[in-house]
Amino acid sequence: MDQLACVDVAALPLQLLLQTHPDWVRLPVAVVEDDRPQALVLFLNERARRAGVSVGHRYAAALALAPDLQAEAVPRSRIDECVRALANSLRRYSPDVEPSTCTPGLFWLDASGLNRLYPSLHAWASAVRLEMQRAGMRATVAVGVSRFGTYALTKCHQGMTICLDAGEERAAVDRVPITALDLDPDARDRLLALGIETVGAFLRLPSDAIRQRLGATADAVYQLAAGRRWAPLVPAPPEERHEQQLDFDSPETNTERVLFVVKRVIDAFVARLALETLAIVDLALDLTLDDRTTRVEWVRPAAPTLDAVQLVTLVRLRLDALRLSAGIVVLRVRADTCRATSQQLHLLPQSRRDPSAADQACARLRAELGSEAVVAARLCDAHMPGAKFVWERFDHMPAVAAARVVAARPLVRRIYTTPLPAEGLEESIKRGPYVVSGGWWRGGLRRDYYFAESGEGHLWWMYYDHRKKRFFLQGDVE
Amino acid sequence: MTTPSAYVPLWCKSNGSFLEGASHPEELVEQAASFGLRAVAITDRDGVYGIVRAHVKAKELGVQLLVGAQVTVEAEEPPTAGARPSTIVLIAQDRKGYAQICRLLTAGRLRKPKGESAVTWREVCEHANGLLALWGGDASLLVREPDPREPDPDEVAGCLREAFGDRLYAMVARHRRDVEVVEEARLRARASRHGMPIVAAVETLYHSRDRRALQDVMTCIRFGVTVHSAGTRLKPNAEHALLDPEAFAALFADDPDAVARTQEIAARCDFSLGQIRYRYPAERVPGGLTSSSWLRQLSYEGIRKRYGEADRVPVKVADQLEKELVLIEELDYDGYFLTMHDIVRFCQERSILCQGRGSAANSVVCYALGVTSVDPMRIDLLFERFLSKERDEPPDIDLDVMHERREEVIQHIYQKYGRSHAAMVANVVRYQPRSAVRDVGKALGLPETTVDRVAKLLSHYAKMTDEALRQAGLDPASPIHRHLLQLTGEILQAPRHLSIHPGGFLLGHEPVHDLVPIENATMADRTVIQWDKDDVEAVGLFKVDILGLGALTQLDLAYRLIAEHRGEQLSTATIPEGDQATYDMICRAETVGIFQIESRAQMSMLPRLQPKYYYDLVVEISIVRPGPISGGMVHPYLRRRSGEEEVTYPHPCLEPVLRKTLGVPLFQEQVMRLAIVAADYTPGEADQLRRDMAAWRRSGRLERHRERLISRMQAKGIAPEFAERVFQQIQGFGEYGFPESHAASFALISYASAYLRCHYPAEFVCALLNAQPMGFYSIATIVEDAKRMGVEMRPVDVHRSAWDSTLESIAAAPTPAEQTAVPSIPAERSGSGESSLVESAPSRRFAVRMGLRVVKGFGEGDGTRLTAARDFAPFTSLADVARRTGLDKGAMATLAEAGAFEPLGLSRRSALWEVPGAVDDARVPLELSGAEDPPAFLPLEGGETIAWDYRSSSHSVRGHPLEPLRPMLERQGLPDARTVRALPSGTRVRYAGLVICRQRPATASNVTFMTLEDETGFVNLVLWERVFQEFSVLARTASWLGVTGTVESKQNVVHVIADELWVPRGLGSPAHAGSRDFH
Repeated sequence: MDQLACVDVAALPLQLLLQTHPDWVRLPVAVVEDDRPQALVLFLNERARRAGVSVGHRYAAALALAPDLQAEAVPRSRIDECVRALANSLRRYSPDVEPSTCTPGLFWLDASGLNRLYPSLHAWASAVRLEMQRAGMRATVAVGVSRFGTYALTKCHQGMTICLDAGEERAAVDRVPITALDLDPDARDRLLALGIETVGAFLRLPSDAIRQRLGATADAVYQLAAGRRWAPLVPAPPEERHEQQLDFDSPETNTERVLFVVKRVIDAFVARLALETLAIVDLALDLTLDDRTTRVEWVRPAAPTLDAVQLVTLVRLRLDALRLSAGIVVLRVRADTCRATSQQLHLLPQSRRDPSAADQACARLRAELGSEAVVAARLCDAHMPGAKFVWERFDHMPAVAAARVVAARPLVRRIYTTPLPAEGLEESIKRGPYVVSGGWWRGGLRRDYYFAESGEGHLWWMYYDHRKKRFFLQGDVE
Repeated sequence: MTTPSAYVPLWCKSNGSFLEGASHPEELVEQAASFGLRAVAITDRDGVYGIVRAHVKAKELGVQLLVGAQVTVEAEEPPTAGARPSTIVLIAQDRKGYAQICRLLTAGRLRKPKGESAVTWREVCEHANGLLALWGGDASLLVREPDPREPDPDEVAGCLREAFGDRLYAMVARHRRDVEVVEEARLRARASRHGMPIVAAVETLYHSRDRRALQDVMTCIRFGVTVHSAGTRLKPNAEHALLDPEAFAALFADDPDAVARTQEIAARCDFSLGQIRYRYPAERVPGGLTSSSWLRQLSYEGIRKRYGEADRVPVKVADQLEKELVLIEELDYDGYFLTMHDIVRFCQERSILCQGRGSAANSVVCYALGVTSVDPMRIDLLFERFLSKERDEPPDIDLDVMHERREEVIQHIYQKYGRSHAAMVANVVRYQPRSAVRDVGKALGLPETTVDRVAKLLSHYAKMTDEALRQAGLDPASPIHRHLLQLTGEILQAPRHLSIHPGGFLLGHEPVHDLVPIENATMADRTVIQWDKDDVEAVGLFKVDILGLGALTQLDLAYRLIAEHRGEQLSTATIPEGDQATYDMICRAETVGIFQIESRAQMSMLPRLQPKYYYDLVVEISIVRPGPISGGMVHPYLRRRSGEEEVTYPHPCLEPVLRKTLGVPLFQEQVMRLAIVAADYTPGEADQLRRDMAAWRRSGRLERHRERLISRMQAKGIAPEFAERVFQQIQGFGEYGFPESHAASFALISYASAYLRCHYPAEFVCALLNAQPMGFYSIATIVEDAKRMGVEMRPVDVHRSAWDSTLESIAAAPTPAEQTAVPSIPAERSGSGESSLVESAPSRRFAVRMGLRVVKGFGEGDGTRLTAARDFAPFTSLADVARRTGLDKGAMATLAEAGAFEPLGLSRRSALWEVPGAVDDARVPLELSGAEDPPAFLPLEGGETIAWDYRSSSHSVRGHPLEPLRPMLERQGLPDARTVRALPSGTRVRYAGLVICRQRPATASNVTFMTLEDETGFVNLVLWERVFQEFSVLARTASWLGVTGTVESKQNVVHVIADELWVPRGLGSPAHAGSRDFH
């Protein structure tokens, strides 16, 4: 009989939260959906549960039950990242690993045919559990014969449970409390209200009334539990990396030769990605040099593309601009991808008149001068001169805005990247002070701004920093 | 050349500019006075919210207050897309000008949603009379670059110049911002073109730079952002403080004329709020009569009616009536009394129970007009407490109206006077500790969940402390938490938003919008003035208070039930006086649900005070108040009453004043009389003493009476020690001293409700349930108390229950549900009661059927549908109910949970299972046959039944949640409440019960009182501060609580003095309706 295993990293977001706040271990703790008093409680620890808090409570209501309840939201990205890492770890113990799409931290593994690698299923399950512990997670492992059976057993037993045949599994599952299952709180409460407290009692309810009485989710669980719905293992494929490593026999210093081998890699990527309807967002060139130094160079086309010619041109520009301290020993080419549009799937450009020419030109500039070479200023809502704008990379030329009519041409103030000391210039102050102060919540600062004029008519823009007790040049005025 | 002191701040926004100004109006005036400034203007944003407080302070300090507002102006409607609103500051020169500001702001406010305002330039020009206009500041059109979407500044300048003439000034505002240089140049150029003189100003947002952080936080709250994301919504620097003359002169050193012009402007203004001459609206009077003669006629007719015949009116009463009428006429207050009479008559005509409260009970005229039912001569109340010539202020008449029908009275007033002459008084919602923590914490960018946790751990009046932060798991040393601590302290009492007073009306002969701006309230069809009741009182305006009172609703409902079921016509006036059984019941403290004497503190006092007469109730209501308690009057009074202490008077002249309270002053009126008799105060001076007593904590004004009172009392031969003690008692009264007149009015209602509880318990309970929410206790406690009284309480029943609770004759055949219902607890098991009531005939005749209104989540509309369908034909099955009522699954499920379908032969679980199918099938046009067999569900156990009752309707008529646990509690050695109450004083005891009430009165020196309940009654806990702190989380939050302590029993009053609190183990978490907390 095929063996299936379920690994439950119970309340994974809660475990992640407690990793961030180890000092909360002795307190009631909850994971909430987001940071607001009306947010739903998604996961909670035993202390919170003992205080009467339940999953599905609003945080504010939960707080009334457990006044020292600590709560925080855990970002989805962090959970996904952790699930990916755990799935990768589990693949060392079974080639087929299926992470749950609904419950983070729940995995099903194919546990068949492992008897040659491990003396027993028990030993195998122990190894899996140990692996999860090494990853910093507490997990429960159940080995049985069905998807629901193994799931239910992980939910109500600590450590490991091994059921070698269907009868044994069924008997154990019937005793599993309803509260252990990840039923939606509404259905769970309704079942409890009806006095239905175990899976066995749940399965004794008339099957055709479940959907109407308890909703579709509860019905799905019921069908699964009753063995009426076949749900084969759907292992997630290991992450495909579009990556290739090139080892040079001797340190390579010739750009043309390097480009030649990179071109072959890019052509291969493009052909494969086209089949997968993906396009290249950017290419990373990881260089290991003969002097053991490493560096990463990025090439980013104007838009996600499968145009190999464009990509090779950009790589050439980048390589030409490099000044390396030694020859290249290893070159790893990595492609980041996204879903391609139908236009991008054409391997060759469709029109000579390319409206995105400006974007491409910028891409060439980036390739030649570095990824931060092309930037635009974005205005920010702030008072400090240095905080009133930020330089940010831009990939697409903005639409042309209508000209604004002004009554008088404003003076241009040139701002220095780093303010310069301005000792002695205070003698030349003509106007000021203009005071900018604030940020008291993070220590605070106060600057008195002045305009000063040299004997030659040069206008300086300077300030006195009250904290540093010195004058600085912020810039000059044209 | 200007001198350093010669400047007037003309553009100051107090915290009456909601969430913009960061200082109280008084602080701005005080700071101006401390700088030696002769005048200061308060110009709140689109309002005059702060001017009354500023006026009072300015009068006290001798500073001239300029009254104005910063007015938001939009282009002519419809405003062009993208156009920004601009502002102009207007200051009243005279009374007419002030009225123009009020009218203008009213127009701006009423056309906009609550919280917003905008007028047009045309309207500004139309209201220019009597106003000075200061045009400038960074939101002003005058400093802006021309923008095609906005009005042309030069055109607007022309219009303003034409309307205001030489009263239009260009205001140069400087805050050390570099952009102001360009803006000022533009402003000066335009001012020069239009001949506007320049005046200097700073946009003042706080009285001291220290408030800059608070101003930033308020800005964040206003815009719903955090300090990290607020950007340029925050001011760029701290240059918005009120400047001293030197700093202001230095700021405008290049333009001393502009500084001097601030004084010129102040000199052109001679308006003060003291100039408001208010006329009360004249009532329509019959032809040939004046208001005065009409009032006289009504009063004499009324008093004859009160005493039966003219010749039975006591001479003393007739003399007092005449005296009052003469004074009322002299003060021209006839209209006010006629209005009150009209409202009372309106209520009587429509059978709306009402009763005047407060000092009106001191007036024979009010008694004659039917405004109050207290005969002031019978208990010798002091008229001067109500009205005096010296005070020259309108009397305060509060009219309590049964809360269910208060809206009818309000609409009558609107209809009669019109919306221009009647508007409701505002209630300025100010920051309290919890709201302060929430808003400030959010503005500081703290996680909302954290802020919520801190707020919930704070009591309503406790300030934030390091300890509170620690309890919430926050580090008090962290800088951001330090800011939270400081700013929550600073923001306390700052206005947060404007709400509406529960019933205060301002009525005027002139339109109200000439007195104060009117704006929209949140509630539809309600308008509200910009002042709260304290402001209205401070300016000396008449206010009519129509207050909703649940107790009157309860009385009305009870009278109707008695009439309907017994055919007896009872009313407060016809209830027999001095009923012995009623007073006996009160003495036993069986007072749950009785108006004013049901609280735990009152219940503790009743067995000691042993009320026997109406006036004892007056004393009882007054004595459990902070004034008498903190004044140390309670124990001397009780000792004298019980004969433990001799009744003595410090001087024979004081005997008439103090006789009725056994020589101990308990009431405000007695203190006033004492001052009159012992210290030769005039009645008006005595009233001033009362007012100073009320304000002494704030102003220290009481001290000025000290020397005068003591020396004059000594001169009369009163011992110095007594004179000193009297003064200390006056201090003790503080702001909490209770007026005898209030108590006298309340005592009438208390007695009436007590009489009903004693003789008509079923009607009493039924009315009390239907008048909810009101009173001190939850439905669960009321139901439990009713059961202990011997009233049979019947559960919600789909066949029998109406929306409200109803009475059912005990003799009627029981429904199937009744046959299975758990009978109520027999009398011998009842708590403190052990009442004789169960033997009285009336309580046996009717049971109370719980109404559908108690079922949680079941709406009145659902109830109407259900009763309408049932009236048509009885229900035969759950499917029948679903089909004929059309109730949705949610409503049906709540009925199922509450056990309302049990009379159909369905257990709650079966009904709950069947509901979805029944509701779905009900949508099918044809009746379906062949219904499935329901699964067999486990029956509910005793404890579960009660838990289901509580979950579905917050009470159980079937039993108390602790009843099923009693055997286990006994095994743990935990006695019930009845046993605890019988223990001798000094016994150590462990007890567990449900918390139904927590109180932590400000006057109790941090002592916390808790009431715990079980199936046999209440146990009162006393928690000293040490115990409260040690077990603070449990003490504040637990609903199921164990306590270890010592019994203290004296004069039938039993308390447990707690040493330790704990959570009872191994007993689960019994159902609970939640406690009523007052802390």
